[in-house]
Amino acid sequence: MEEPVLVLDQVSFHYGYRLVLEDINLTVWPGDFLGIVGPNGSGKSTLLKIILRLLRPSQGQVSLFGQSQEKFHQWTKIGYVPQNATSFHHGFPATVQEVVLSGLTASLGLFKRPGVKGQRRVSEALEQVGVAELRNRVIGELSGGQQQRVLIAKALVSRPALLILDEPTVGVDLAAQEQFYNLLLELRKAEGMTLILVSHDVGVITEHVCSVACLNRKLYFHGAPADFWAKDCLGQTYGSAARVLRHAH
Amino acid sequence: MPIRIEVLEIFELLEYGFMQRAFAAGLMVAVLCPTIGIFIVLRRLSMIGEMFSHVSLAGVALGVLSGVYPLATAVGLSLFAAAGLEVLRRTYRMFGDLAIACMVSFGISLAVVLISLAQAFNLAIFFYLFGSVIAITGQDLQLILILGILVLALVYALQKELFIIAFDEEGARAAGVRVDLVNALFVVATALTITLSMRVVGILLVSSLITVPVAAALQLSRSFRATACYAYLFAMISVLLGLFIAFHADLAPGGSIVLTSLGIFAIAALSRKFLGIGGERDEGTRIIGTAEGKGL
Repeated sequence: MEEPVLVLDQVSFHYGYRLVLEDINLTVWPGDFLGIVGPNGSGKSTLLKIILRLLRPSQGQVSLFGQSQEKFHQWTKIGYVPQNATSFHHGFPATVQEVVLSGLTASLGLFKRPGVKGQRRVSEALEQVGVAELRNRVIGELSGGQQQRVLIAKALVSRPALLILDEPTVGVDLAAQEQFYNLLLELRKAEGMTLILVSHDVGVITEHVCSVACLNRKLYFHGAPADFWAKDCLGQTYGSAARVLRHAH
Repeated sequence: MPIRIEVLEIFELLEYGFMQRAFAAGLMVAVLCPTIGIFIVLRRLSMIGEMFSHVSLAGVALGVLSGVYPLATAVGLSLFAAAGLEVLRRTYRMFGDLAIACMVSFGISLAVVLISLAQAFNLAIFFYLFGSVIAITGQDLQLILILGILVLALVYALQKELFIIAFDEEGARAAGVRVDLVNALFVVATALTITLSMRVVGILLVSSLITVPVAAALQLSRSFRATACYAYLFAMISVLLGLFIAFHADLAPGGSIVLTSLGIFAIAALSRKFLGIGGERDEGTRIIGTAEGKGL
């Protein structure tokens, strides 16, 4: 039987006395495209940080690729594109190629340099996300959508099996967003990659993902997008004001 | 030709041991400062330069007071402060600059107390404060070259880690890069660079030589590699031209070096604005420029 990519078992997290996540149980299988949605401050980014071990859960267990997180060392199997990634690179003096090459840092280990093979991986990753012609441009000069693709190429260059994206479409215009989701679907199809994407934009995300996890401190729902709408999970998670939002879509 | 005569004069001066030591130490510092500076500027850590200069001053005062070789006590105290900074940073992870602020206070208060204990504003302390490149001894030069090569080797070995941490520290951590280890080693490299450089440009001006050549390079560069190359070039020109001017016009070498680097920065900024070299100036470059301003 296939091993789950990620298992969260009764995970809770406190920031000081504030309970941010409570008793989260979630299993992600290979090839899944999971969208985690929830209002601002619902603990979405915290949950991602726990998965990536940037934060330790106050309670509960996290397993990655069938191993408990404490014993897990193959972090290069996980690609991560952080939140607002596009906003702080203006003025950073690096070309697209230099940025994508830096994605190999962890897999190479200390003191080793990327050789010809590394350069080839960079070219492949840039081709994959469709920005090969931008390789010598400075990252800060690109549009939000282009930067987003470069950062995905940086995550892809070490050939991860799981790609995690935190609010990837913030600051990206609508047309580019559509292309961006198509790119993710292609990656999933071509590489069999598992995707986890966090967004507050419920309407758009549920159109593209295979499963939805609805989070507001607790996990209110985890299942197919159609069931998500049928069970009116949005109203339960966001409160009644969210219905207006739903009709707006 | 007056310029030719001046160049010849410099060659004549180079026959003297103290001049050879001045230029050798100056060139090492011109390589060290931008090597550290490029990462300090991109990570907006200019305050760390201030911190180690203050701690070095305390170290020098300690050496003068106790009769130990001041450069050695400065290196020792800086490494102690580097360790203290790491401990504070881990304790107050959310407030990185609070840790630096605490260490700045530690450095300057200790320096003031030690200088007051020395009863008078000692001439040796004055030399370290403003730089005394022509008073560099063989022992100084040896220490500067050995530790300098060590710092260069360390940064060269860690350059891909330092790049990704400067670009996105959290992302680097998530990818499994050993961020804490690399940061700790970088702080040690910074401490050593500042302590070694103060003999040449003086404690008050060290952080300028770390940030200004990089600031000038950022005006023109179109990649990380180009930024590094320009920064080295500008720092070399600043040190050599600065020393040349200082000897010729009998000015303070440290000040001449930093003023030269500021002149280069002005030329670079103007070429970008009027000649369009280095591309259009965008919002982010201006932010980085401001961060450097604080470090001066």
